[in-house]
Amino acid sequence: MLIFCPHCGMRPSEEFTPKGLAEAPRPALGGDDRPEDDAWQDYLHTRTNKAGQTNEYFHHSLGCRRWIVVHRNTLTHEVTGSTMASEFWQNQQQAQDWEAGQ
Amino acid sequence: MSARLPQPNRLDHGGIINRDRPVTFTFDRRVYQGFEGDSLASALLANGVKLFGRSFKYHRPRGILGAGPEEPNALVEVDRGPADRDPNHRATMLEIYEGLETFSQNHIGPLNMDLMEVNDLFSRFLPAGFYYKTFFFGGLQAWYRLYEPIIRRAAGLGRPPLAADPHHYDKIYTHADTLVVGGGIAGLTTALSLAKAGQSVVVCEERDRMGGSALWQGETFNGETGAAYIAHMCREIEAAGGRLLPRTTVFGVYDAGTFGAVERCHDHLTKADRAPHTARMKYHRIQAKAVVYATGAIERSVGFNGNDRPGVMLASAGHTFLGKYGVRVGERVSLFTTHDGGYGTAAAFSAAGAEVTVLDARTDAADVSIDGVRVIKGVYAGQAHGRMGVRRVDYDGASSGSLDADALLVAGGWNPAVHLTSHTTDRRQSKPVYDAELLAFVPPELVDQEAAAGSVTGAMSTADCLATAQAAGKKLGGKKIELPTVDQALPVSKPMEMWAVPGAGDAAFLDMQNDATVKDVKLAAQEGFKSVEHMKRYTTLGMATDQGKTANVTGLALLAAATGRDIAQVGTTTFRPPYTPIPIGVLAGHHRQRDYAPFRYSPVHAWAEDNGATFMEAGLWMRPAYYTAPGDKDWLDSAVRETRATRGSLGITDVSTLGKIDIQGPDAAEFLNRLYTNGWKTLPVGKARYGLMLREDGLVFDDGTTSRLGENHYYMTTTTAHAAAVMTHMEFMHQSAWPDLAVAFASVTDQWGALALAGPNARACLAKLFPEVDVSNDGLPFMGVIETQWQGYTARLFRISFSGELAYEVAVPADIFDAFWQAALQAGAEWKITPYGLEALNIMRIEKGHVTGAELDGRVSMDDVGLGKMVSSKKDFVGRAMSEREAFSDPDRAKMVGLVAAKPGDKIIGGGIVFDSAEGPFDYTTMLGYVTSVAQYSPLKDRAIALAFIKNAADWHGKTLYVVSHVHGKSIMEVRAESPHFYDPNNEKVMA
Ligand SMILES: [Zn+2]
Repeated sequence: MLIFCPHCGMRPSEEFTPKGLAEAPRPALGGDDRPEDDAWQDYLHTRTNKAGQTNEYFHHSLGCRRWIVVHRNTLTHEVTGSTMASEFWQNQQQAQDWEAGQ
Repeated sequence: MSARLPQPNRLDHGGIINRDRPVTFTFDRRVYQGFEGDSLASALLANGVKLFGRSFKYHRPRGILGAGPEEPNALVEVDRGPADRDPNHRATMLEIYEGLETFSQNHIGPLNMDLMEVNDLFSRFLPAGFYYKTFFFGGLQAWYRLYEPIIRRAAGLGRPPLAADPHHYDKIYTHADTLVVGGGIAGLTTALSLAKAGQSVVVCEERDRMGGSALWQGETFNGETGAAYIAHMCREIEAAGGRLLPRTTVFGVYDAGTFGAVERCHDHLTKADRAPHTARMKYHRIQAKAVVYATGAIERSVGFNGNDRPGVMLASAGHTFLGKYGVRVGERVSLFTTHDGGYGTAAAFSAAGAEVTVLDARTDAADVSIDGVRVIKGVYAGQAHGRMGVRRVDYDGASSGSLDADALLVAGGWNPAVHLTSHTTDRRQSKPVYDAELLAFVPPELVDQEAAAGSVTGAMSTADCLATAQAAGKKLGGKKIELPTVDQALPVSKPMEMWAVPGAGDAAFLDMQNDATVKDVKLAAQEGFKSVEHMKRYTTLGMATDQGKTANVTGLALLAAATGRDIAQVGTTTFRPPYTPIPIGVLAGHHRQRDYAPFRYSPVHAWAEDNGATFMEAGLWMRPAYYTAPGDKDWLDSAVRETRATRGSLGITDVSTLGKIDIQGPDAAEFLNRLYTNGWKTLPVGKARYGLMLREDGLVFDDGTTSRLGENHYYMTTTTAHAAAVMTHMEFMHQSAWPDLAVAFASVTDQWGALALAGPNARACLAKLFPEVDVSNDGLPFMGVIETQWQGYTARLFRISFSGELAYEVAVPADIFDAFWQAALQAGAEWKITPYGLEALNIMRIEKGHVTGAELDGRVSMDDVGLGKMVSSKKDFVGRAMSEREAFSDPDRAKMVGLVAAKPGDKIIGGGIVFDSAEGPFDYTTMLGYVTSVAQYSPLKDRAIALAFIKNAADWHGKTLYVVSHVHGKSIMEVRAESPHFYDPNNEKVMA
């Protein structure tokens, strides 16, 4: 299997370490969050494990050491692309804002 | 050249073997001769050998069924000594060489009178599901006492090697625009088309040479022989930059154009011909943009009684032995066919002088007249007779009768070798599709980067195969090439549907390797195993080493019939890699034994080796555990001597292996603030601070000290064990959660060597090493940091202590660390400086109550290890929200406590369970906690001490407890609980 790293290009999957689904961003720094807050539950525990398009964290641990989010279809194994983790949640936010504005 | 031995079944001409090179080999210690180019199967058949082995379950005598990788019966062992004994070679794929020694498998006593054949007599008691049913019959005791010993003895194919594999194996990344799997005429034609279009092409062919059946079938191409046509096609492919890999099996297809292939480089050569230091096999991890499946088709048999007798073989196999090797497997040949293809084989045998009778299952078959071939239409083989080799064949149907025969060839139709096309679900479905016209499974619809060529598509004639190759080339951007005119084409037709003949029962075999019969499949259906996956597991059909290559399709066709469904409805089981068995060694390559993983060595490793160090592994690092000095009785003696010397005067230890991370940037302090539980904004330049990291779930992750070297410059240390994980964690948090923080960091573990000086004379020693620097208690107070120079190189002085003594850590660039270490030894000589290893360090840190990985095992909270106060309530950090989970404040939670053995000489066993009574019961209902770290001797307490986690830890201080080790015969150890800070609890020494 090959994984596309936005920094290094197509690289063999052995160079990467998976972490799991990127389904919710880390809750914003606050101060009085409680463990039972939905945002924390979603970030830490809730995984939809859906059949279809997913976003997964991979670490290019034996390469550039960037964290990336790989967009993969679990039904077809098709990898449609990757985003730097550092840009992923911002992009998501922008997309949401854009949709909300429509 | 050795004398020529007779080969009774070898014709005096024909075949593509090298008759000028006789090859002498043995089978079951008997000497035989074949020719260069022979497989073990063809050479033994040439010598009249019919019996090759015994079946797995019933130990029935078995011969050769196929001529290629599909062979289920003829598994043999190649013996080159105990370390190099290699079982389960298919005789049809094993190339012979001078001196090859082979043995039949799976029998007790001689092959022709196997003592286990008694299983066959009892076969009615060993029907499908036997193994499952025995569990219910007579219960477990019967299983252990009666059945299991018998089955154990009978089970297993071949004998395993008895010593480490002596061979080399290589791993290679192989790249191509297009991978062509299968070097038959279709694969080569497609490869040529692609290579001519400028693509880089790799062709993998499982057999010893390219060409497949075109080499010997007798068809001509533009008037040339098949062998000549193939040879010049190969030259053209190579001239266009293509790569041909014979003896290379593509065993698996993986996502995104990744393929696994094994190239066999040695197994066909004598030992002398194997170049030294070269690999026996190479594992190619092939990365290709596109793939052509040109994997061919595998002929299938028909279920009839006695179809497993030695001498009953697939028509294509008989034809192969004749055409490819010049070996005639019989003189009086019966040929049972369901389609026109059988007539080509009949004609070839007749031309080779055999007397041939064709049993054509079709009443309406067209009349074919071949010299010397008798045809009986509308009949099928009902029963083959002859325990050690076919003697007679009974036929039945439109007419019935009995034929004298020494070979029975079966042409039951073709199964395209769709296995590889179903390994992947990459962008498409994986399951092959049933073609009711062809009566066969064909590949599913392929994606743009895939094509199929040749008989795997269901194409039957050579001309049709070439047309599919042309189409495959076109699909993948190849150049159009002129297809040859095929003359003397072999007859082909679709088969008549006949999976098993009427009356086929428990001697009509489908899976010959696992002895699954027509009756077993019917029984499975009867007992309700209607899913093909259930039937497979119940009957074990297709679960042997050949994965049912000759059995699966027939089995599921019979299941469909027995359950009244279409074959398409029943579907197939899942084919999984590897296509054929591969040695595990080739996947490991050089990653074995010492080379399994790299070792990391400190810059003073050589010095430690020369000075009596015994090393222990810490992750990949090799760290000195203790240094043996003259007079030391054992490791504990050494460790205690090192501890006393350090506490009494001065010790030195190598801490280069600690993880070191350099952190810089305007937001560095903010970053640390978010990573650690405690606050970092107030840490001044020139100071270090102990920090605790949590995981996001609120449990303790790691600890260490971080020093502020400059306004925006920090230097973090981690535990040796967690160094990599901490780095990864920091990268994740920075990139996924706080990309806006202006901070950069890099691991500098390998860039800095570091040592610790500990003991009352540490300061004096440090002053001697750095005479220019004020290292007094005012100049370098506890947790102070000074960056200075040592002989022109940067040196960092940290006043930190893990041992509980007055101590310093000094880091210098790794390149000069050895010199600095020597200088420190010299400087410390007047105080009898003593190097200490991990064991002494362990004693000292347990006496001091410092935690390590043994305590921070991923289950403990800050409070559990007594560090709950290290939380800044003014800020957010990783794990803060979750650290407030209710369960963490449960008073019943086990917390850290110190344990002291009741009297000197008593042991405390690590991992022991803590109870408050010596009476028991010693189980989870009464347990208080568990021991994490043990110092077998503490000089401070003059006995063993330990750290443990127990419920209501503080309440037990001063009381007697009992440690019980269930893995040491429940030995009970009496201990006293107290604060884990045994040594210098008020930190007077470290602050002195
Ligand atoms: Zn990368």
